[in-house]
Amino acid sequence: MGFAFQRFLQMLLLVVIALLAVFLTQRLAPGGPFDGERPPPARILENLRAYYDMDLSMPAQFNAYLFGMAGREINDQGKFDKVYWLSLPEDLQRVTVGSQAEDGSGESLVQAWCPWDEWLTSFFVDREDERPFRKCGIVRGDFGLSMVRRSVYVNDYVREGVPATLRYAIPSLLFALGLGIPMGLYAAYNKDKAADVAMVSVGMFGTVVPNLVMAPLVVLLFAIGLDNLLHWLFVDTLEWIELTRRQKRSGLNWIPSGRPGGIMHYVLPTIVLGTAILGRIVRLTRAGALEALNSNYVRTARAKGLPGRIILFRHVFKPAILPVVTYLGPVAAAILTGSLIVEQAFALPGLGRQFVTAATDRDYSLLMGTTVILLLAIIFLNFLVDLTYSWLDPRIRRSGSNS
Amino acid sequence: MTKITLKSALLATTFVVSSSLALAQNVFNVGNGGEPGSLDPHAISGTWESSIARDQFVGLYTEAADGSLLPGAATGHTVSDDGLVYTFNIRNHSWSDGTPVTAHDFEFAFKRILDPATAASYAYLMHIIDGAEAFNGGDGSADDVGVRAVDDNTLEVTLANPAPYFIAQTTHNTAYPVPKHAVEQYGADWARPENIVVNGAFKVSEWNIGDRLTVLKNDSFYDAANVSLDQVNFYPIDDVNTELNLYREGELDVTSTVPADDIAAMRDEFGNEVMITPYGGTYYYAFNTTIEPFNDPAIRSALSMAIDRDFITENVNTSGVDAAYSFVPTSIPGGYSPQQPSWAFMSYGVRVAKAKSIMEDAGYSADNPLSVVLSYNTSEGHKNVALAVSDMWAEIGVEVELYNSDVSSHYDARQAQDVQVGRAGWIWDYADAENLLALMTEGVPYNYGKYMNPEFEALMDASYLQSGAERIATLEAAEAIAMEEAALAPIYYYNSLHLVADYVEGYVANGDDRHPSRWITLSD
Repeated sequence: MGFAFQRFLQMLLLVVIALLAVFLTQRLAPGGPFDGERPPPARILENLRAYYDMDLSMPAQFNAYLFGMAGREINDQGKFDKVYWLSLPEDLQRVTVGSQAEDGSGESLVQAWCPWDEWLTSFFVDREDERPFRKCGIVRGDFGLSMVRRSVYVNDYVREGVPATLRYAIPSLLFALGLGIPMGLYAAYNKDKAADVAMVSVGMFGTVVPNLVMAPLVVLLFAIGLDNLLHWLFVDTLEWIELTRRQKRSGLNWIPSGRPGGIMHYVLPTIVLGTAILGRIVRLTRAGALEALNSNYVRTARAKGLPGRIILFRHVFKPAILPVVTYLGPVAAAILTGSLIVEQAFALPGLGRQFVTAATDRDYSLLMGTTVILLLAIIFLNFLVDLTYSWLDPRIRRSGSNS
Repeated sequence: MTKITLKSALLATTFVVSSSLALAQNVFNVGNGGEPGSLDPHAISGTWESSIARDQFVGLYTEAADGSLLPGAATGHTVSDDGLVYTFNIRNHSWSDGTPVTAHDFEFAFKRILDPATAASYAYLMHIIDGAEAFNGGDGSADDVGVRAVDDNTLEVTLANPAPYFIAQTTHNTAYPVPKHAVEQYGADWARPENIVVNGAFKVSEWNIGDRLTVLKNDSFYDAANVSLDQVNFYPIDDVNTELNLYREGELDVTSTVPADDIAAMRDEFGNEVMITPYGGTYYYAFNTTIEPFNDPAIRSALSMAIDRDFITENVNTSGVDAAYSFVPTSIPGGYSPQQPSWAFMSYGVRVAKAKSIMEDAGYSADNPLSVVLSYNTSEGHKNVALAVSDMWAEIGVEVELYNSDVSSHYDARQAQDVQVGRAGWIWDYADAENLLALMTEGVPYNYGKYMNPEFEALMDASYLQSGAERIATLEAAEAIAMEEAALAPIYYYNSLHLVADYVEGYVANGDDRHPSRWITLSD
């Protein structure tokens, strides 16, 4: 409990620091979300800045981003005042929006509407007909509206992007582990023989070739090369049937080169992302297994005459995968950062692609949102790794409870 | 024996493939470039967004397959003698939920896009309407905007000054109607797929972010009888090579672009499926005319003269672009002839000699070179052009320092007049020479070089009060002045590149690169 709570506090602090860092760096970088080949004229830029609260001072903007807006109030000139939850000096918390109230009559505060409020109050209140606007701050579960893609909430990108990334990130992890651990064990058992060199080389090849190169390479080999080969072998058969031009061009399309779809669509992204971490897993497993094979308890087990199979599973396997488990934290980070390139190359709708476009578009809110989610994912996975590790190796558990 | 077995296995597969394709015969798969950010015609700015908006909404006028003007939500219009008051007759048609489209929807839409609270980045295109600029800038009131629904079927628009291009502008997404009843009900969320109401040929049915946006034929569209497609899928694929592979596999029927580095290879592979057409815009270098020595027309001309455009279009940008000597592209319709400087017809050798002597007269030579900072936004293509140009300028005693930054910073610097010579490009908003020439008038934010010439201004001002051939002649005279003075250095005219499968019909080349799905048919 103490351990978990301590980690939770660390995590929270890390997120706040990261938020502040991203918030400041992107605003200090030249340019902004409304620039581009053809940025709008100055007056329109002012409207846009007001729309996204960028007319406030920097501390007030950060306040608005974290804690959101309480609502809008119509002042005596018939214009809107923005009112924020957290009290700041008067000039920071109220800003007049350059628009007139439609009827000019409303006197009370127009309440903002928030995703979490709805969730909390959905049992009591029917909020269907009052959603004037939504600026709630991330403490109330709202990452805000994208600044470049004007009608999409960052929450939408997260909701659709996270499952899309997981759909090939998890298979690629399983692929790397399922292939890498046996390869490492096999290499250890055949130390310094040709098989050892082969296993390690194959693994390292995938790791040293960057995703950026690997992606077009596998597309060329499997999606295009293989398809052309099949065409070449069976072209007379295909022409024998009266196919439309359209169908002929589609070809067999056995392994698609991109886009989400059936299971075959995930073959190539899984290979690219999986091979990127394969080499490390092979080498770590091999090192762990070698250490175990040279240890006294394996020698004793051999001397007892235990069958090799039992020795492998009971005495070698666990110490062999321990270093791999420690490495899973960095692996998770590698997969998530690798997703930036893989999603671009295979036209997959994940979070990594949104992260990249957000950075180049200077889409402040989208970049903040995706950073927080990626950060939380990496922190959470590291936390899981810590737990798994202490479960696998009792020595860790003991030293942990002592301190 | 083996081969026969394989054959029959394959036969079975093919039957499955063909039957599933037969069901989906009228589905059009479009590589659409970027991820759309909105379906609200007032909240969009990218071409990949307006292509979707164009399928969902019809403005007062609309475009035929070849880009020419066609009555849309209006059946026709009249113009007052002073060219200021346009009266449109609204067609009897309805929104996709059955509510009639009325002149009130147009009035509401025009005022909505101009409302500062809407914060529409393209609202400036509507500033031609009387009172619009003041309201949009936060100084005026919606009541003073010159748009009025006289009755359900009559819309009256009053312009700030005569604008013969106004009808062409009504085809743009900024002038689309929006459903008053839906916007009032849902606020900013009205354009989300679950709420949206449209008056165009198609209506969104599904939007999977990052994967695809699907629109289905709108049966309540007034011309639905002549719409052949049942469904259009827009795929947001921004990686050129990924898009190419998906086209190869038949997942796309049309691509948003073509890898431009090797057009010859593309032609070998795809033959006449490669469609390269002039696009309404110009790639150019802007000189900062507020600083020495670029305030001198002779120096600017010398720099422009020394650019070997043919070399650039043959060796640097090999995507089939044409060399440009005028700012208005040659693809401009309507009888306008783009104006080139007098030296444009000289051979390149003669031009360089002339440029060299101009530079020498001004005291610059190989021993005492003029140093110029040439800025561009980071991109392989821009860099290659800049490298070629700096070699060409070295010939006439100019020492170039290249400076690149990302597009946002590049723009910031240009606005701040922090640039000596900077790359820029312009694609027309509406196919009229005025749209480009206005970039060289005073006070326009996109006049990056702050070019200013009273004679040019006077001609531009006069053109707004003219029409027809007289107006075209005035605009031509204005461009001739600006080009002779090298207000900027045009380099090439943009083109658009697509792969269009041979069974796609109705995808017709036009300078706006607009291809409404309404006109597309798929033959087998």
